[in-house]
Parts: sequence; structure tokens; C-alpha cells
Amino acid sequence: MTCLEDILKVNNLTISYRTLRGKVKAVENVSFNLGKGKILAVVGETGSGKTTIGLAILRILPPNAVIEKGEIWFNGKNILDLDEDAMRRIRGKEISIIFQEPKITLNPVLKIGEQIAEVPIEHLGLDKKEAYKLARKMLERTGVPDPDRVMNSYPHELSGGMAQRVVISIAMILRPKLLVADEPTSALDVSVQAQVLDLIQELVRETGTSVIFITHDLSLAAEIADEILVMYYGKVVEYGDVFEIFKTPKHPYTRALLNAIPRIGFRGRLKSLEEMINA
Amino acid sequence: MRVRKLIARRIALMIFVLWGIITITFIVARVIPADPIGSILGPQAPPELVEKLRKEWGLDKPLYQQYFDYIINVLHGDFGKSIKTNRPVLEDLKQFFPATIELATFSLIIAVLIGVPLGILSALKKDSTIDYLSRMFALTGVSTPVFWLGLVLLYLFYYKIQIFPEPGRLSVGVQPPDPITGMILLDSLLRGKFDVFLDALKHIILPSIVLGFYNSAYIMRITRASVLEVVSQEYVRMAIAKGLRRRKVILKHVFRNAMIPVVTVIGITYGSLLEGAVLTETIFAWPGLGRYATQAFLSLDYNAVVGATFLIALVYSLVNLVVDVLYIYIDPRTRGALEG
Amino acid sequence: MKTNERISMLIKNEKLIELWRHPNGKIGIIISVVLVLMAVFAPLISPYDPNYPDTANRLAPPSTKHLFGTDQLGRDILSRIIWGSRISLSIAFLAVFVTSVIGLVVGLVSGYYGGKIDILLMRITDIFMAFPRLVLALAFASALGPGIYNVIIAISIVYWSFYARLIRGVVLQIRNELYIQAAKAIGASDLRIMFLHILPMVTAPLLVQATLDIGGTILLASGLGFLGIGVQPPTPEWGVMVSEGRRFITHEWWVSTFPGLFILIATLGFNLLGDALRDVLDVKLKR
Repeated sequence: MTCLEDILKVNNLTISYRTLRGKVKAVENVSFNLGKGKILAVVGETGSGKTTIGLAILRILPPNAVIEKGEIWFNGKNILDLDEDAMRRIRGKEISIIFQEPKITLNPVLKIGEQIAEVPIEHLGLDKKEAYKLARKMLERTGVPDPDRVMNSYPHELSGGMAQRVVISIAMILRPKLLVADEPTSALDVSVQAQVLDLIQELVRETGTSVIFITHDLSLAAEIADEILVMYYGKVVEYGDVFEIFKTPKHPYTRALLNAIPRIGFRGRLKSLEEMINA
Repeated sequence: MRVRKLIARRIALMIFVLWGIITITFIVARVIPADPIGSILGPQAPPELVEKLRKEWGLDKPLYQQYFDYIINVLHGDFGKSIKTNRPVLEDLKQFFPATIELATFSLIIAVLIGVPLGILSALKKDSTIDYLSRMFALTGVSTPVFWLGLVLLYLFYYKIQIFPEPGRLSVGVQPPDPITGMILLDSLLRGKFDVFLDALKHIILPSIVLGFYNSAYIMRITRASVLEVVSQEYVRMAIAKGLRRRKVILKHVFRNAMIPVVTVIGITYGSLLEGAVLTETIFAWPGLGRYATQAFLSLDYNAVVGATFLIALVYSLVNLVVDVLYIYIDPRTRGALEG
Repeated sequence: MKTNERISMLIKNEKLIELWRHPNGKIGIIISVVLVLMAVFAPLISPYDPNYPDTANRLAPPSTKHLFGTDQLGRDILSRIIWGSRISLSIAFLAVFVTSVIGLVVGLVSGYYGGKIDILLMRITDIFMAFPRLVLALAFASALGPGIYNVIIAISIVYWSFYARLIRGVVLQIRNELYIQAAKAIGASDLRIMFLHILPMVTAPLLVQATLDIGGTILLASGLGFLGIGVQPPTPEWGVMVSEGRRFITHEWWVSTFPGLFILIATLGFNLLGDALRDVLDVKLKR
């Protein structure tokens, strides 16, 4: 599925972590492409390496991570080869990230306004007044009630949903080409989850941003994604168009995941992975 | 405002603690010693003298009466007379207090100037040689007896290699400036007597280094731990993910958070400096509260004991009050949720 | 029972091995063990009687005969240091033990029951903690009079509040954990919950703090000795020895220097041990 309109191309990415017990492979030979304006869901359980992929794209992996091999092509360049300063200029402007728990992603001692405004100040060189105006507009756009008050608040004063909207504002304020969303709704109340999800979808449609949506929830992926990448212990086990995969899953793991989705009216036993493979 | 309520509560605590301090000094001075006058005057004392002092001190009254009188006296600053100097203790305190404050504050500045940068450097360059050496320094620093260090350094740098002058605040023959604050460094600057200032400076450096040694080690450890903790936080990762420059990330996001516990520690450090002063003033012939208190303890000069202990505890409590109030301002999380 | 015993033995061994592997732990263990042995076997190790005044050899410099020299009465300094370790260590261990027990009780009660008792007890600790430690110890030690037991009492009065706070903190943390609620729901008595469930969680931080405070107590006690309060000469307490040697510092530097050096080494040893313990036990707590 390679086309000229691809925003991101990942080839044979292999990443390990150095631990006290030696090197542990987190991600092995992962390859995929992301088209412009498309949403790719990376699905897998904890430890499948999905978060590592996200961190690698922004090159904010922890210090004990080793990129063994592979390339990440963005904007015609392999960003793994870029020097730190060039990469820094991409972060927050061309590629952004949203993490799972919004409250700890925000600095507890700084006001919200400052934390949003520092992005355009850094990348666009705006002065404080303009940056704050832009920040406020962005905040309004994300549906935050009483944006002036929120701009003046501290993170611990906000609810989870509001905090995540702030984080989304930070990520989207410069209309990046690529957004990595690492389980953005997992830590939120169910009622808020849907709202935040809708917000993300709206925004990226508006700005034409491509999204890598990392989640453990296959049904959520089905709702939001154009393509799906299923990860199992660091390897890609399924990759393709969302509808294809749901109709004809090729890998037993995918089938097991699909089977695990609770269905109303289902009676009987859930099958384990071994049983499915042997079936 | 929420902040005002918190501050008010903190001040109320301080008042309660002050009452507690007065009570404990009372216990030390009147309740515990079996015969305060007898132990001072000795068994040979003529009984009339003992009786006279007893009445003078109000020791013939019942204990609870003594307690109330005591509280009222302390609140008026009346600690009685010192047996040694034969002056009201309050006068003694006024005389010796500035010297200790000057020494403690100067040592604090040195401790912070050494401890904080070393701690930050250590944390940012974790596991490097600098980190390792700094940690060795810190561990040794908190294990060193301050009075021994003072003796050794005095021997080395005053007697053997004559870098520093003799113990004391000023050289013999140098007149202190007319007192404004009682602190020679400040007063000499305010009065324009720069030669006196230099002399005083030369005299205060060695005792400050000795006093500050333990505390710079302690501050370094706390700073390092704090920076390390902050650096591993999610919001620092987010700051990098925003594409902010490294310097900005460190200054704005790391420091602002890492310095919060360090500020609290400075309050505790001041207490440690006051203790250390008790030990070092004897060695450096520093005419301060510490030396006064020690002599009072040794000679069982109870009024002086009470006065000195009370004053030291008061100063310590005030410093901690200031630090706690400051903390309310620098850490927004203390203020709780928005009203309304 | 047998399997439980075996398992607990295994765990204990594992911790000790980790402690030994820790770079600071190794040095800390060696120093503390050596000091304890020194204190215990003082009569056997000490080359001379610590109180024997060899008047012919007063203020003798370090030599093969007197490794650390002699003091102004001709007493062998090394012997006095060895016997002094008994004093410093017994003060430290006893004081820390007493404060741990008091702090444990207060902290448990305060943290578990909360409410008015908690507020009252914590206000009391606030008062005790308003004094710099040495000053409070000095005040009580001088009021109580000389003697090693009074020193221990004075130090305990100073340190108990820190332990009470520490333990209360731990209790508050785990009080709301599910397993405590569960125990309560089955109707377990408060005492049972405190002993069976809360106490084990408290042991680790308590042990770390106690080890670190042994170092702190040695410093505090020697400070008192230096000032001449508490332990009195001719008792060979290290702080007292430093004070006695003060007048001779210019020419007979060894009289003060060696005792002080041992204060440093002893404190350092227990600090290293406490640090290493904290690293080793903390990891287990986090897991």
C-alpha cells in the first residue's frame, strides 16, 4: 500500500531495550506506511511494542533504547539520521504526540495558558500576546467551557477530560502533519471517551493530519481507523485495511482478539488462543 | 483567597508551637532539675542565700503558679538574670544573637552555593565521574562531626598554612563599627568602613565553611534526588516532545519543579546551622548565642538556658514558617481545587 | 511451617547478597561489623588499659608502641578509642531502639485511628521538632544530669517525633488499601490488623531510618560529649576525647584528630549501610 501521498514510511524497524537481564527486543522488523490524512491504528496488548513505535517516530525513546536497524521516512528524509536540533524542530510542529494520562503529561507548576503558548512561541517565534491568543482560540476549538479560566488554571484543577483537551490543543495547535495518539482515551471516564474521540476525529479531518492511533482496544480501532496494524510481542501479525481484516483475519492472534470482543447475546465460552490455533 | 486561609492556619500552628516551646523550656528549667538553686550554689551555700534566691525565682510557689508566671514573663521577654553575667538574660541575648545569625546566614549562602549546583550537575550527568565524586563528597560531608572538622581546619589553615586569621570576628585592634543590626559585615558596609568589612569577611570564611560543610553535602543530596525524580516525570518527556530547546526544558520544566523540595530543605538546614553554631562558636571564639548557650548549660545557669533555648527555637520556627509560606506560593498543588 | 521457614531464610539471604553487591553496602557492612566487633571484644583487642596513665610517656606522638599516640595523662589513645566504641555504639543502638519503639507505637496509633488523637499527637511532634536537635538534647541532657543513661534519654526525646511521623506516613498510605479493608470486613480486631498487616509494611522504612539514625546519633552523642554534657571524663567517649585534646591541637594534633576520625568513620559506615539498605529494600517495596 505504498503511494506517493504517504506521509510516513517505516521500514524494518527493530528496537531493543538494554535491561539488567540483557537486551530485550521490543519491536522487530516493523514496516508500514501511512497515507496523508489517514488514520492507522496500532493495536496490541501491553508489551507488544506499540508505544515504542510511537516514541521512536518522535525520537523520544528512553536512554536505554537501541535502534538496531530500520528507517523512518518523513518529509522525504530518514528522521533516524537527523541531528538532534533538526529533530527538535520537527517535534511539536510537524509531528506531535498525545499520551495516555493527561494530568501527568502537564507540568503541575505552570499555568495551562503557558504550557500551550510555549509551542507557537518556540516554533513560530510569536510574542507572548499573540501566542496566548492563539492558545485560547485553540482551547476554544477543543470545546473547553470558559477557556479564559482554564488558561489561568493549573493542571490539578482540571478534570481528566478537560486536561486531555488541553493536551490535544498543545498537540494540534500548529496543525502537524502527523499525530501520534498513544491510548488517548484509556485513562478517561467512558462518557468522556466518546467526546474526546470525536474531537480528535474532527480536528484531524479539519487539518488533514495523519494519525497513528495506538490502542489495545480492537473495537475502538475499528471505529476510528482506516488501516490497522496488529502487534504481537514486537512483531507485526496483521496489517491492512480495517474492513478486510475484520472480514478475513489472517493471523490466529487477530482472530482471537476479534473473538474476545464482547457481543450482546453471546452464549458459551470464550476460546483461548491455543484453542483457536488448534481449531 | 485560598492562600490566605492556608497561611493563617500555618501561623496559628506557629503560635501553638511557641506555646509548646515555652512549656518544654519550663519543663527543662523547673520541672526536671531537683534543686536548681542548690546545684548552682553548691552544698556549702548559706541557707539564707538559698531562701532569698528561692523567693526571687518564685520557686516557693506551687508548680502551676510558677508555670503561669513563667509564660507571662517569657512573653514579656523577661527571662530573669543570668548567674554568670549578672545581667538580664534578655540583654545577653540581644548582644550575642546577631553574631550567630550572621554566621548561620553566611554559612547558609555558602552551603546553597555549593550544594545546589553540585546536586544539579550530579543529577544531569548521572553516573559520570563528577557524579561519583560529588556523591562521595556528600556522603563524607554528612558523616563529619562539625566540631572536629573545625579543629582540624583551624589547625591546618590558621596554624600550619597561614591562610586564615585567628579565631574571632575581627582581628585584635580592629574596632567594630557602631552597631545598626549587630552584624559586623552588614554594619561595616552600611557605615562605609570597608577595611573593617574585609577584616570581618576574612574572619567569617573559615567558620562558615566548617558550618556549611555538612549542610552543603545534605543540600547536594536532596537537590540531586529531586532533579533525578523530576527528570523522569512524564511532563518533562512531553516538554521534549513539544520540540522545546533543551535549555528551556531544563530551566522551565525541570528546575521549577526540582527546586520545590530544596526550598523546604533550606528551612531544615537553618536549624542544622543553629546547632552547628553551638559547636563551632566554641572553637572559633565566636561571641554568639551558641557559645552563650553552651556556657549556660554547663554552669546550670537556668535563666540563661531558658532564654537561649527559647530564642534558638523561636528563630528556627520563624525560618520554617517563612519557608512553609513560601512553599504555598511556589507549589500550586497546595492550594487545592478551584473554588466555584 | 517448615516451608515458611525455608522461604523466609531464602528471602533473607537474597537481601543480604544484594546488600553485599551494592558498592556502598559492602563498605557499610564491613565498617559497621568491624566497629561492633571492636566494641564487643574491646577487652581482648585493646593493647593497653584505657585508663592507665603512663606518666612517663605523656603526649607521645604516634609510634610503634602507641599507634595513635598518648594523651595528656599518658593514656594510650588507640585503647581509649577502642573502648570508646562501646560507649558510642551502645548509646546509638539503645537510643535508636527506644525511639523506634516509641515512634512505632505513636505512629501506628496516630495513623490508624486518625481523628483527634492523630491531630493531638502530631501537634506534639510539631513542638518537639521545633527545636534544633542538638539544642533540645543539650537542654534535656544538662537538666537530667551527667551519665550515659541520661544521654540516651535525652537523645530519645529528640528523635522519637521523627519516627512517629515516618511510621504514621506509612500507615496512612496503606490504611486505605483493599486488604486492610478486607480484614476489617471479616471483623479482625484493630490490634490484629496492626500487628499482622501493617507492621510488616512498616519494618522496611523503619529499618532504613534506624540504620541511618545510628550514624546521626553517634554524631549527636559525640557533640554532647564534646561540649562536656552527658558523658563525662575520664570516660573515653570519642567526643569527650576530642574536647580534651583541644588545648594541644597545635603541637600534639593526634589527641583530638584520631577520636574525631573514628566518629567520622563510624557515622560514614552506618550511613553507607543505611543508604544501601534503602536502595535494596525500596526496590522490593516497589515491586
